[in-house]
Amino acid sequence: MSESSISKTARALDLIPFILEHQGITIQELAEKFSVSENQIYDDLNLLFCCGLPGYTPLELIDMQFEDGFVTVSEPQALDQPRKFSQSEIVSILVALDILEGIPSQLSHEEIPNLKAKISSQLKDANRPIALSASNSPVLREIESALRFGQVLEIEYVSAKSDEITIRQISPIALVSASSFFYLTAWCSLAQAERTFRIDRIKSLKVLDSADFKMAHGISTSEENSGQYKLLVSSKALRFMEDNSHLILSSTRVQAGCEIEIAGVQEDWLLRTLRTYLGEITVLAPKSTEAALKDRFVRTLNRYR
Amino acid sequence: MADKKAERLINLTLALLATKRYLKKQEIFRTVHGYEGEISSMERMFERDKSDLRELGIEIQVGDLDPLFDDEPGYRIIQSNYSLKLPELTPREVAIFSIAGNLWNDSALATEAQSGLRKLESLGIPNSMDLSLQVQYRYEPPGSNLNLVQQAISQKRAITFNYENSGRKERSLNPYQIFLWRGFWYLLGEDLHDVTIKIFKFARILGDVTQSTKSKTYEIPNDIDLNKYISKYSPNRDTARIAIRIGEAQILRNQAEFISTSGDEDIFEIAFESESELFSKILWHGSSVRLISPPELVTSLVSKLEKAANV
Repeated sequence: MSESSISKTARALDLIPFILEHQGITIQELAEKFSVSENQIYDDLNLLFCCGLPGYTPLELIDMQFEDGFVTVSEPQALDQPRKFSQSEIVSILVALDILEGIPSQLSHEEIPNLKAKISSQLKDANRPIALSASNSPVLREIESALRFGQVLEIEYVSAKSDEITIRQISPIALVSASSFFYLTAWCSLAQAERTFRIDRIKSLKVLDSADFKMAHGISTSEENSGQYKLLVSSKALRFMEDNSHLILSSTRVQAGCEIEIAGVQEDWLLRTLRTYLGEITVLAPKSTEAALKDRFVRTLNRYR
Repeated sequence: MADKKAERLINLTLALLATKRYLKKQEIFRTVHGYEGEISSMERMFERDKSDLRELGIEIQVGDLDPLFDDEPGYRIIQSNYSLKLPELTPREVAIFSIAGNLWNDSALATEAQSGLRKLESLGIPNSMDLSLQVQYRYEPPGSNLNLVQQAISQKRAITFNYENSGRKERSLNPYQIFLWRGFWYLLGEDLHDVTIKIFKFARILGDVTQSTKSKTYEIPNDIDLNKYISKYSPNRDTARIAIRIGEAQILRNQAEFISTSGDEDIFEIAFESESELFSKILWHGSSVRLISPPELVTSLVSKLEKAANV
């Protein structure tokens, strides 16, 4: 289906002031910026090329150059300024700012409210959706700064499988806020692999000298994590893909849902996770994992027989 | 392929923006490129174009009624209504704006935020690039109900929907406030059945929300303390009884209440929000845990396990 004339008009009106601020921008950059194909940008520019003020002599038309792939606007006519924000644009930014206020970052405490106040002046309806702050614990703030400065941490962690407390040296890779919890993905010296930690299970934390860490643990991929798995995820289990996007190597849409390849996980973790999806995710390869999953279902089922 | 309609909409916008005085309809038809055909079809075209531009947030001012000329109105777009005017932003604020605009990964909110960001970038305020965000924020992508409910809130219309819950299924309420909490979207509103203010989770709304045809039927109290309702909100209204093998599934033990020991198992009670949440919690521990009650959930779990195990 082709795009509506209305959304094409909107983009065309927004292109001119954007190009004016970025004279000489490439078609490719414009396509990326506006999330459309390069062909679409060419179409838009050709469309604008025919537009202008009544009279429509060369003097009254929008004038620009883009033949060599670099776009410049020499005569914007009345389109030299960006359009005002739409109400939904403002709301999406304000809710995002609410969230920023609640997660640790290097922003100071007045900065975000000040910006919100400035943008809110454009808002017509005061009853906008809001986002409530996540918990902003000291542990989170330390991890955020460790990520920013590439520091290595030593943590006391309550393990998910047993109630054991382990001491691990970790090199933080990514901090993710999902539903009620924050998760930290890090290179773990104890596992000699990438691991994900739940922040609320970190009992204590201290910053280490990173040189020591690197000496002690040359980054190598461990055996147990080297497996690659091919899964069929039904449309009811797409949440799995959202939660584990960092593990997915490739994904292909198929009739029954999505075929994905993942790597970098322990088989036991995978089997436990897949079990919670109750058959909405099936293992296509390797066969041994497929059999192991089935075996686990049968063993769980046997508890009811 | 040329898009005649888009071309006409752009030409109309340009003409109405550039004019210093109100343009009569006849002038528009005569001078703006793209209006052709019978007068009546041009009239229809113009009405549609006006409403399309309004959909884009472009306000066309109607004015200049001249009594000497049959009261025919004129049209123009006032530049200050059209273009983005922001209180002076600092380069650092532009950077924060851009971090916010990039927070939504890909969802309907991301599309909106990105287009807002592009407009900001067209203002030519430099972006101080020394800011970055270390945290990735995961959230439930907003569904179409979110927009519908926000519209209802703006127009103060009551809404009706089916809700996944152990109690009443159909709910009618006066919606007050949408909020995102711990990655999920919620709605605060007054339940019209028992006239109480409650919290509803969007993810548990089944199917589409319907809006009442009447608008402005209620007022939102301005002294609402959302935090008060949240602290009372407990989605976990149901309890299940589970048996855990002695010494196993430590995490689950921490979330549940110990009842007694029986043979090689400990019996616990655990609160849960929905069937899928409960199943996912206990299945993680596999054969270490057995669901005892409620019986209908045991039946449901067993049949799902049988299907998954293919037996």
